Amino acid sequence: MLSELKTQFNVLKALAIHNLQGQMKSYNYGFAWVILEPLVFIAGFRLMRKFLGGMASPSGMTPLLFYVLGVMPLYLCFEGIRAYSIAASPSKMLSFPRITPVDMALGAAISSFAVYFVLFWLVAVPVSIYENVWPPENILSIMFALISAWLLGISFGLIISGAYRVFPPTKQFVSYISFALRIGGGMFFSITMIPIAWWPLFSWNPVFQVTEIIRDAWYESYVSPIADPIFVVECILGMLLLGLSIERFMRRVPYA
Amino acid sequence: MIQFDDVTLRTRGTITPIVLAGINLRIEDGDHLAVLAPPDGGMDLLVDVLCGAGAPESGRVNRGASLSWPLPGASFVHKHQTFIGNARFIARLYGVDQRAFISKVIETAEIEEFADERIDFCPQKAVTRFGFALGACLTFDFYLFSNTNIGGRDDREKFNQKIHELGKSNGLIIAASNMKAAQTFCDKAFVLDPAGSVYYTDMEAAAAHLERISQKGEEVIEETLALDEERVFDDFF
Repeated sequence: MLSELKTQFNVLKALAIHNLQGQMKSYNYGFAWVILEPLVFIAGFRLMRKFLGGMASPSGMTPLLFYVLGVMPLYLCFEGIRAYSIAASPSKMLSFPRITPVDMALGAAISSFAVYFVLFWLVAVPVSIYENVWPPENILSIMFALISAWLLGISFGLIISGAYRVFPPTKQFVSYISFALRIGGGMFFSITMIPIAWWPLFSWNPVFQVTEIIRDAWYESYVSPIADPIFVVECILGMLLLGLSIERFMRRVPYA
Repeated sequence: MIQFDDVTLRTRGTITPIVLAGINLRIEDGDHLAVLAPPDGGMDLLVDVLCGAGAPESGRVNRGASLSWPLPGASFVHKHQTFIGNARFIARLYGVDQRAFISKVIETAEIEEFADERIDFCPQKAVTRFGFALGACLTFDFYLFSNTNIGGRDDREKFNQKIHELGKSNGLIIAASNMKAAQTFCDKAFVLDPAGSVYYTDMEAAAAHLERISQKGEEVIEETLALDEERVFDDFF
């Protein structure tokens, strides 16, 4: 058991480093865009608010960090979701008998997590110092939220990997889901900015819960009325179990 | 031991799929087996299923032994990195001591002069020697070869000897579409044939079977081309 765990750890470590080395092979638009895209979103929201007015961040939340805390967890989630195509596509790396599709997906997800986790702190720390909201109120909750966003993405990615393996056009639907998450994931709003009657509807969304948890954890002035870490953990466990089961079952089905 | 129980394989993404049905094969520890098929005869499918990179249409594959990846394949290498950097990836993957593994690989592949060069600046023969050495410096129950022409023309003899040495204490599986490599290293053969795959302990009989299905394949291709030409001719007028 211990030796199997060690083997698994070696495989994931090797794949994650291999992925990172592949991403950095030429510092071209591909890798630069990975970093620039969330920063463009953050700057875009901030400029929109400045020029169009309205949608002020509530409860003393500073304007720029408010968007940083909304955008970065969502990008961690999107990177996790990308696992679906890796887990369900043929790859030369699978010629190594000890590498399975789920290893490939997890290896890629770990390397993405490393990039966005570092990027989050590289952006959040100077922004919070600039806006006089450093240090965060609860750093453990922030870590929990970042890891949760990533795990939610992986779980969802594994769930849809089964459909993608036998029906590649599923890819089109994933872009709709990403769009829905961008709109409903709390990227540019918090729960207190929407009518109370809609709260039960939004509190079902675990990704929105994550953005609420992270804002609650950073700002002393903001206490989210819906943030529920237990609900997020339940969602992760349920979805991960379902996703891993689907992946395991669909591995027996030839690629389309 | 590696065992295929009533396995069916089928190529996908083509209008003329190759179906290899009813594959029953048992490879015992220490066996030197050639898997033979004409070019485009479904060999890649079998190798993928053998490694676990692909799933069979039906049937069961039991891998009760450790198996290398298809050697000297090196499609996984990052060409912008050095031989040392890429060898480090394999060392991490298999959890072996990096320093000892890297020096053994460089010595086996005889690439001391290129060890710190980017792979895309190195000659192809050095890359195939490196691909071979990566697998040969690890311990497996079976070494799987998709090509036994390792290195340049001058290196063949030396690396054939190294494959023979590997085969002394381990199993060899040679996937080939010609008999030359098979007869050099193996004493058993499995011929992939859509009409029914056959296991041989007589290499001459396996060679005859492979030649027969290769010729048949060429005839079918010629017939198809002739039909296509006829169709084009008809359409034109």
